[in-house]
Amino acid sequence: MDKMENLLQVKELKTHFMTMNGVVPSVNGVTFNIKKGEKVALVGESGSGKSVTSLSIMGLIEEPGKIVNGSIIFDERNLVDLREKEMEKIRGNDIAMIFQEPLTSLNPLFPVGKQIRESLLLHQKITRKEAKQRAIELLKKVGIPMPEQVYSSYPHSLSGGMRQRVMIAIALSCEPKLIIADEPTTALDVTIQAQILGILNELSELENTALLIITHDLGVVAEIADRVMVMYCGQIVEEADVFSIFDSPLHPYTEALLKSTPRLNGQEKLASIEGRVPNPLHMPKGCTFHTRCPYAIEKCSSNVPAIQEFRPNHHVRCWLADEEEGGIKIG
Amino acid sequence: MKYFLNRTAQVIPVLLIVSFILFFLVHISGDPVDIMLSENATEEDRETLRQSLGLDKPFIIQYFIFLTNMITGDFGKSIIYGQAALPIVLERIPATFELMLASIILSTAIAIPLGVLSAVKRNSPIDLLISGISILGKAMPNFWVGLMLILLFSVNLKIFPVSGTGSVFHLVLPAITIGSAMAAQMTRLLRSNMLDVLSQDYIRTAKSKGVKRLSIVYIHALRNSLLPVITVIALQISTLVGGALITETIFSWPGLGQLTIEAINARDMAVVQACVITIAVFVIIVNLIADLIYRFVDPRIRY
Amino acid sequence: MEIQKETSTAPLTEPSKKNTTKYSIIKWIIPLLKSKTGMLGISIVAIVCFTAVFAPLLAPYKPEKVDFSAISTPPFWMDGGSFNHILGTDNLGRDLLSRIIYGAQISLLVGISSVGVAGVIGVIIGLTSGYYGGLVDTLLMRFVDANIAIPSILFALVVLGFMSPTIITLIIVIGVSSWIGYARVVRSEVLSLKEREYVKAAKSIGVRNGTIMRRHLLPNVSSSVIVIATTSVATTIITEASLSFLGLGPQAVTWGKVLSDGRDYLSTSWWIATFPGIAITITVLGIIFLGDYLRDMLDPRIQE
Repeated sequence: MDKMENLLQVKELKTHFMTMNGVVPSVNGVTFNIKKGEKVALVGESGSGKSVTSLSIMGLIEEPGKIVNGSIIFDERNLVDLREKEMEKIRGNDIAMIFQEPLTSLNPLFPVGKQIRESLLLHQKITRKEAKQRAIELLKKVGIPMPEQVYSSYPHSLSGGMRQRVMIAIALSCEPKLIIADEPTTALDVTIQAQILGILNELSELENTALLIITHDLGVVAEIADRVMVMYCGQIVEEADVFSIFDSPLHPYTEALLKSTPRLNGQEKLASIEGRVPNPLHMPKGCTFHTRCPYAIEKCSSNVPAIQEFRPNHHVRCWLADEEEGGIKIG
Repeated sequence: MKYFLNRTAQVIPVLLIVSFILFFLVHISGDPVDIMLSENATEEDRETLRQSLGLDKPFIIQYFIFLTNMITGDFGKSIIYGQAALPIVLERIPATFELMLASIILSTAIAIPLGVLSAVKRNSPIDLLISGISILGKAMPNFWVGLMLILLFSVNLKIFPVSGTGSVFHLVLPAITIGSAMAAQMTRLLRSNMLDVLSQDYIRTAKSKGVKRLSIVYIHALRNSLLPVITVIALQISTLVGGALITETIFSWPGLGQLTIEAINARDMAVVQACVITIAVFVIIVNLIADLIYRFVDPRIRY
Repeated sequence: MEIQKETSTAPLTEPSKKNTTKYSIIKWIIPLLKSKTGMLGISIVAIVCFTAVFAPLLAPYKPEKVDFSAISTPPFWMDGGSFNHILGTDNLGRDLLSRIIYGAQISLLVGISSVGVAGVIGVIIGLTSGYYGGLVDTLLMRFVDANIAIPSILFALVVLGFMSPTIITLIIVIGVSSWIGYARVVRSEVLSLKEREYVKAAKSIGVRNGTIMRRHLLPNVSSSVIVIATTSVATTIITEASLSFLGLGPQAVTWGKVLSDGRDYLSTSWWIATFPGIAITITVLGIIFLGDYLRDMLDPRIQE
């Protein structure tokens, strides 16, 4: 991996929540890189810590949560050490974010145009007039018909798909280097989902913007990502390019996720993942997945496996993939 | 506009009920003839008066007479002032209006920064302090606050006049008396709404855009948190007017409240009736205005 | 209320409650001990109730006892004050502490009884109008609007102005002027409750309306009613004090009356008006804390 190309380097990130009942290690030692213009997907069930990872990058972790360890290097600066003032200059300008719920992610009391313009006025030295012009262009770019009209209309009068387009317009407004999209299509109809992903894909390629897509939906991953990271219980358990993940998953959890995803050719029966995500207050010893893993061996319940490169550019955190155990063969 | 007309039309049945309750109260409260005539009046005199007042007619007819008189603004003659009741009452409106306005401005000026600060610094010592003061403000009886203010600022410190009207200084203490209760209520409400709004998705969106903390609170969150406050304050306006009744009496503020209490003590029926109806209309208008503001601010229910 | 929300756990509100008493007592006491304001509230209320009940034993003097040799004695820590009259005396030499102790009796009596009157009227009207709908309901809603237009204290003033104010009339008048809050809440809860399966089921097997209201609806609205009633006691105590203050209260020693006596002597004997006000404030504060605690425990949905 060429270090020069790396836009974002997350190293040993730990974000914990100090709740009344104990410490919840939502993100527990996550390391990954994103290169310029790369499209990466972070996949996992709800509660796996993927959203907390993204909020940690944005510096939006709030009480009782706290980044307790690790570094987030973006453009040669460690975001963890930055003061709030400096972070404000990065948010929306260098790193933008799109959220899951387009219905609630826009302020109901302001016209959408104003909400796009706000970002521009904050980060760029332009007049209100120019900002308005630019906002209308952005609306056009994300495929909104009659952008002048939409500019002055309120969120409640737009459909979910339209609102998500507005969110994308806001994210794109300052030509960020990285866009983090947290479940951008989960709340939308299937047909709208495809459109939104299309726009996101096209525009990020056009602007050479890196994209970190957070999702539980492998369909989304297949459509948009170059590289995939699978997350479970606050750790990345497998990382590879999108083809390797789909064709030869190494981690039993990835395999289970794939089996539970409907496929268009529909030859296999849909399987659900056995068992439940463990209680974050009482994480199992050893590999966190061993309680649900159909292949678990004795070692899994006592020793924590390290992440290692099993094949070139294909990393996995599993004892079964360990040389000593002879490696696994699944699928 | 259509909505406005609709909403105004809804006022009519409300006023009908108010007038009916009022009439009913007056009706059961005793024979007005006893009040109007001296004790040694003959039974004949009483009967003549009763007939001239229409008191010999059935209840419902009497109500309709009362209602038609009321609509034409005729509440009868005041015993104390010896003239038509309505002008006497209307004369007092500006003073009460002035007091209410001052109280509202004062309480808003106090409640917004305190409520916001309390929510933003949630669970900090300052939040506890503000919450404590606002609960205290809710617990203290209005008239007692008034007396204590007089004791402190007029009797001991001699900064403000004890009572009466004429200068801005006269306005300060009564406005604080009414305003403090309102401010306490508003602060508590604003705090809880603000906490709710600050956890909304669109606030997170604003943060992700790099909006500064202060602008997030005052531009993005405040407007949304104030909406429910407007509604609740409008609903509470009658309680506030109730508080104003007593406050005006304490400070001899020449408004509607003082007149009402005076008229009740003197059993001046005409004035009491005119006062109640005027207060009811006042409260209804305030509610109407609040409703319109709400619609203006919130695009979701604007037509 | 947020203060408690974080310290106490919200209970589950189940449609049919058949908890055993032993279990629910434990469920109640633990959060109470955890909630500081809840404890404070319940302690204040308990002390005030105790004072009211045992007033004759606690008060050093009879409240009406006039002592011309001790007119306007200041409280004990001031010049001229003594431990004979800890909080001083009023313009007739009556002991202020004794008057406040006895005042608790009437204030609590009026406060609690008028809440009872208002609660009964409000619950009955709310239940019927929510359950049957139609004309009763329309009328109720118009009444609610009208109620908003007339301040309840004004209503009470007008009525009491033309009646001889006794404790009984006071209770009735305050009760009648404040039932609407209960009716509103009960009505809206019943509107949603009557769509529930178990109510529909009861209806379909021919259970009579009266029984449905008593057996299925009433128990489910009771927690909201208790919460409103608790906070209402605070309001009615203030209302009673206001009426007494304006000279329209009963001919008895109440906090409002004692306070009102002190109004004319503010410049010479500040303590007469000050201490009854403190008594009212502390009591109301206790009730508010208790009410907030109960709301968190019983019905987290009700907002202010």
